[in-house]
Amino acid sequence: MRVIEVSGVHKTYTRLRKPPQRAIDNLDLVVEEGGVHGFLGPNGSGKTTTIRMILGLVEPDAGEVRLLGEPVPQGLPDVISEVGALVETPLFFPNFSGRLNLELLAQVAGLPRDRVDESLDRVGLTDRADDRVKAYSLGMKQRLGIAAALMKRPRLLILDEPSNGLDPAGIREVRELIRALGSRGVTVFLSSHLLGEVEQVCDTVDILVRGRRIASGSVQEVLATKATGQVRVRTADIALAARTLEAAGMTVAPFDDHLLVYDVADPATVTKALAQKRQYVTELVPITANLESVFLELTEGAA
Amino acid sequence: MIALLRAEVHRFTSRRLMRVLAVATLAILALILLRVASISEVRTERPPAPPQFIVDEHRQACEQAKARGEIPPSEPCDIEYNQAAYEVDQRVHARTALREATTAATVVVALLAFVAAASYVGAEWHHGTMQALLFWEPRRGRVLFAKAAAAVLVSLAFMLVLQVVTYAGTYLIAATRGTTTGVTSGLHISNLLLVLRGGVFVSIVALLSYAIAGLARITGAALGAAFFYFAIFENVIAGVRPGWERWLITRNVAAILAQKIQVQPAHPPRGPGAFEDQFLEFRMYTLTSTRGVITLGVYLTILLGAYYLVFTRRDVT
Repeated sequence: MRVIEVSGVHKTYTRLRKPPQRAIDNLDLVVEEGGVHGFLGPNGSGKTTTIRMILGLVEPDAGEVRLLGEPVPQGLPDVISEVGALVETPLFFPNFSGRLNLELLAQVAGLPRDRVDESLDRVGLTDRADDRVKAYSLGMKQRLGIAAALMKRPRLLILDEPSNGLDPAGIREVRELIRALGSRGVTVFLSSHLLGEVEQVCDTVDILVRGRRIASGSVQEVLATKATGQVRVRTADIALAARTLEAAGMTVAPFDDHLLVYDVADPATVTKALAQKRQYVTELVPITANLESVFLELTEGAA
Repeated sequence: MIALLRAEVHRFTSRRLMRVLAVATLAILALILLRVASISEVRTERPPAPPQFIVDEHRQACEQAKARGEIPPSEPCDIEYNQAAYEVDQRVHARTALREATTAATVVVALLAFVAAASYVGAEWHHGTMQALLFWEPRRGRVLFAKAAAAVLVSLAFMLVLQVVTYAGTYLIAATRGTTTGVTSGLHISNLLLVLRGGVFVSIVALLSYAIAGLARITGAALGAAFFYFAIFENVIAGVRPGWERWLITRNVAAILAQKIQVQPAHPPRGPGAFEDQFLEFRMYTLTSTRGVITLGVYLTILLGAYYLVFTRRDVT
């Protein structure tokens, strides 16, 4: 089932005495149920606007948005109880305690009070729950925002930069939480700048530039679009292996303890060439692009 | 809807400003009641004797007049003044004081309701909690009306508390240190009706403030609009267009509280002497409480309608 479906969406912000700003340009986006879906893009690429449109906060100029199969905004009331969301900085009353802020939200949805304690416990805020939110650090506010999103026990969790302001331990906790939720069947739609995080936790990604989607698919598929074609090889005799591979027509760069083979379409051709000369590899590692380099290459190319 | 309304009432009453305003108002009321109780008495006073220099001057002038033969020699030259004691009645008379106290309490609650409702909706936009709330209840119309209902309910609840304290306190003072002569069940009913009309007035004020602050998405908008309207606009209109008096908010509020008031007719006579010449006192327009409620209701409908349209259509960013 498609939990998020955005088709042909346009959005332009008109501002007083300023030229109109196109935020989303004919965007198509599909997120299937299950797993963790990354939503990447440089600042101003339209990620948050897209999330706001999905949640019915911003109305698209054209196109259609569906959430859990229901059209937005008309069908939103039918599915909102199954959707948890954290958009940008969490927004709470600063003079209320963290607990009271959550209790007020829980009351709106008619959730039991123990759901508040459960969520606070989940994000490690139980000890500070009765402090005023204005005394919280940015990281604590972020945790409170995640707790609010989790209170509904959502089927779909939309997180916009959930690691903002968190320390390394907090970032790891959020990563583990997202993984745990993903493995428990919750679909997580994660917008983040932390590409390493996205690469570690996401199953699929969409990359957005200037309101347009420029890449989409599983993380492996996206990485494969920018495969390096390099293979690192270790053998007992590096120099001999280098001569053998060059003789087989390959481009090779020898180093002290390994050699790099370039433009390799299939790593099996390397092992085959060496084995035919009775040289056996002790290690063969295709060097893949990481998400950061792919992201930068794609976004710079699109810009 | 009930859960949303309950949450909104909880949110409204949990605000620090609301608690400070409520406690401060009750504390000030208690001080006023204590002060009134302390000065509620019947005092006996005697006129003071004239100063000595006046007595001396009078006697001197009198002697000179006698010497000139202007007054008979047998006439006394002392100043005559009334030295009889008289009573000053400063007691609280329940018959009038209860009504005055009820009116004053209504006006105070209306002012508080105006500030509280504007702050309530302004703070929601300022802190972005409106956006967070819409993740939980995306039906914006419901959100708007639940918040409006919360503003009205809390204002009325506070008004009820303040009226009970004011009424009971005033009656107690009148019974112990003043007089309850003339207090009948009919008077209580009349005052109760005044409280009910006050409730309508307070509700309208809270909703007007809520709609203005909501339209602009800031608290200051309602406060600024109120200042401009009451301090400038109404005075200008009353001076330049007296015939429009019947449409002014303060006149309609006065009509609601007083049941009816006299205002300028739609086309008042102009020019020097016009008032006297045309016997204006017989042509004044009677503004009734019903008319006041209708007029303010129309203003409120327009403002709330505008807020509804903007709130349900404008992006929340």
